[in-house]
Amino acid sequence: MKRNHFRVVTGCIFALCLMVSLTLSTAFAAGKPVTLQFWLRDTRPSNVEAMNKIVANFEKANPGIKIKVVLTPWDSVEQKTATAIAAGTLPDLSQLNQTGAADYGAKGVLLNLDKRYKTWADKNKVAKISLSQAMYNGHYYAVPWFAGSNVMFYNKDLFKKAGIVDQAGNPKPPVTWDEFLENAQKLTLDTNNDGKIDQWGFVVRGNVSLTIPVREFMLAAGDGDWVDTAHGNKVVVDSPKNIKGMQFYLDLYRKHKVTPPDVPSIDYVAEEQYFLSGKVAMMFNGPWNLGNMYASKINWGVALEPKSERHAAHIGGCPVGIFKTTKHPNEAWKFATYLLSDEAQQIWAIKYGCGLPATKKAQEDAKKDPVIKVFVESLQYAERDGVTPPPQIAQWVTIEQSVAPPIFQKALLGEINAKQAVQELEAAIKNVMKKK
Amino acid sequence: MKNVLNKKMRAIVHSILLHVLVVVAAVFMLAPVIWLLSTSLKDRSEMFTFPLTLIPKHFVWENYLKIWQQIPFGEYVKNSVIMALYSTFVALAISSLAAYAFSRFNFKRKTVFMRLILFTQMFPAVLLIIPLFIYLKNLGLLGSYTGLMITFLTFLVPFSTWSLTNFFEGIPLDLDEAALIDGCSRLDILYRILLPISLPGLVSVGTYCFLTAWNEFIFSMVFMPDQQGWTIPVGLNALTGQFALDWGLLTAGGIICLIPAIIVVLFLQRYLIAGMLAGAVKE
Repeated sequence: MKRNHFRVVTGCIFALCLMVSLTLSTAFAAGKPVTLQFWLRDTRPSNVEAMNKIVANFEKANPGIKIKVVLTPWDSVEQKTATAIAAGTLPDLSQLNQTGAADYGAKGVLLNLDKRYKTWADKNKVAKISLSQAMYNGHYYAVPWFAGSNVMFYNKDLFKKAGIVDQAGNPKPPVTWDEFLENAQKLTLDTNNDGKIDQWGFVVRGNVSLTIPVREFMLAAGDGDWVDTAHGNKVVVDSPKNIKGMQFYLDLYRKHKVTPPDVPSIDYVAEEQYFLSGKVAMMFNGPWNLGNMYASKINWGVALEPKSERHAAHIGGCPVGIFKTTKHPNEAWKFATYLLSDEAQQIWAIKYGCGLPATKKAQEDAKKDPVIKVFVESLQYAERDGVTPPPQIAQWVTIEQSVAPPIFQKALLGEINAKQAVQELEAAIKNVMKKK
Repeated sequence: MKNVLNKKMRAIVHSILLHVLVVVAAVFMLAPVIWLLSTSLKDRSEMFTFPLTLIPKHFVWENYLKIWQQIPFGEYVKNSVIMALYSTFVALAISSLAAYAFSRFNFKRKTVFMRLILFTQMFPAVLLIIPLFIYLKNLGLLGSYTGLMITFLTFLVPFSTWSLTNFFEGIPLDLDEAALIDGCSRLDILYRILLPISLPGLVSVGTYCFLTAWNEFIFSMVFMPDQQGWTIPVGLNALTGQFALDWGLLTAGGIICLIPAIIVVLFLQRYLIAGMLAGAVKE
């Protein structure tokens, strides 16, 4: 009797477990065959809202295709993709990072799109610099989607207080390196006379993706190229102009001391905090921070980054890749190129400000906004002046995240000078490029 | 007389020291939580003003509203609750049986088995992700609660089995023998004697399982591809962009995420302390 009782109880428990698991697993079973899965890395609420609108419009225009947007936040997406490659569960399409065409192109998981590009009528409508970010090793492995560029944010109130104004009394951001340094020195102050500097002219990161600020100065000095993808991926870091850019970056912190004293540990978040706290007059940053800027009480403006030989900017942006494993390459191509339509660009880049437009027409439209105008101009000047985005090489993520930062940190701490830093970088990148 | 005074003095000094220690420990543990709460109630510009303020100048509640409106936060809470309860229940069911076997039966290679279970705990979770992913995919359980629960068992069951074995071993064998004589089956002993007696132990192990499952991030992230299956930590993670994040929503979400955990611990506190002591001394 008692045994039976026990059996009934365990039996019930197991039946319950089984039922729960069956109902739950069927509830989340995979979608229908005409559905395309799209991995979206920009997962903040405004991004998701914009994407949902774009998808709704696309589905209305293409009744046969459904888009399932899967959110894959930036800091775990590489992990997720690696797992999906191993398990064969890649989506049909995915937002890639700026060198994703090279990264995943080299891994052989992206669809080669050369043939489609040949017959693609709208190709000429896309900005050249964005097209270059879809190409790896002379082949198209992705479709451009949106662009990004850095500009200089400046604190108008601090400029006025320091008397850096034009004849009409409006704050006047610097145009050249000389003016930039001069202004930065004027803006580095001890505001409460306690013998300690508590306001700085400029804030720059010394931590996390250090390559971006350093490359910006190198690009402005007239070079900025680290790897020459047109000539067999030759490493070309060690050049007089790159050393000049590096020197200027280091001097701001070490020699002129116009930046906060903790530069080596300042990351994206700290950089933004410094600027938003009103203790720093200038910083370089991208359009992704505009939401936070508008929400702040700082009276800020944007201007092109100061130039030496040319205006520099960090050119970013994301293309969309179609994976080889997709069963619906035609539909995937349709959606990827739809993202470049006026309608989709309008929503993503202009209305929601999730990035900068990648098509020439949308860029002109975006210029109506006085702030976005500066971003678009920096992008267009970059194209005009030959300012290059990070090279499309599979090793870029490694270089950016683990090769370059320790070398620059040593330079920031004064253990090596600018020339040595650039030479070390050259040797280290050569070493990485040798490995396959 | 002197002695008495001395004793009194000593007691006072003791109690002062003790209180200071307790306060320091409490501050140490509470500071991040208070900071989280304070940040979640500030408006954006105040978050970044120096000197930093502990009590916001203007209380802003909108983060707590926005989080329900801008992201499917209710869905995330539901998923977290289901996952935490589901995996706690299954983990306890499995590990109490295993612990019973380890504590009451002698069989070949018993210590080897015990060590094997401990051994599995030496691998970092990331190492298991790809194999588990392939298993779940082949079983068709990817993106389901059950699939995720099974991956949770990989770290919940070993710990629970070890702790429950300790609790069961603290219960004298005489009880089993008496029950056997009275006609109990082996499993009756587990259900009628061991489990009720070790209730504090079950509760503390269960709380551990609940909190671990509640806080789990990386498995939930990888094995739940759809947003509708996300738990709170995964959902909050999606608030961060490549270069920017919304501190207000993130901190508000963090505070809301804490509440169930705090409630669970407060209610079960009595059992928890008993449970911790119960395993401490073995006969």
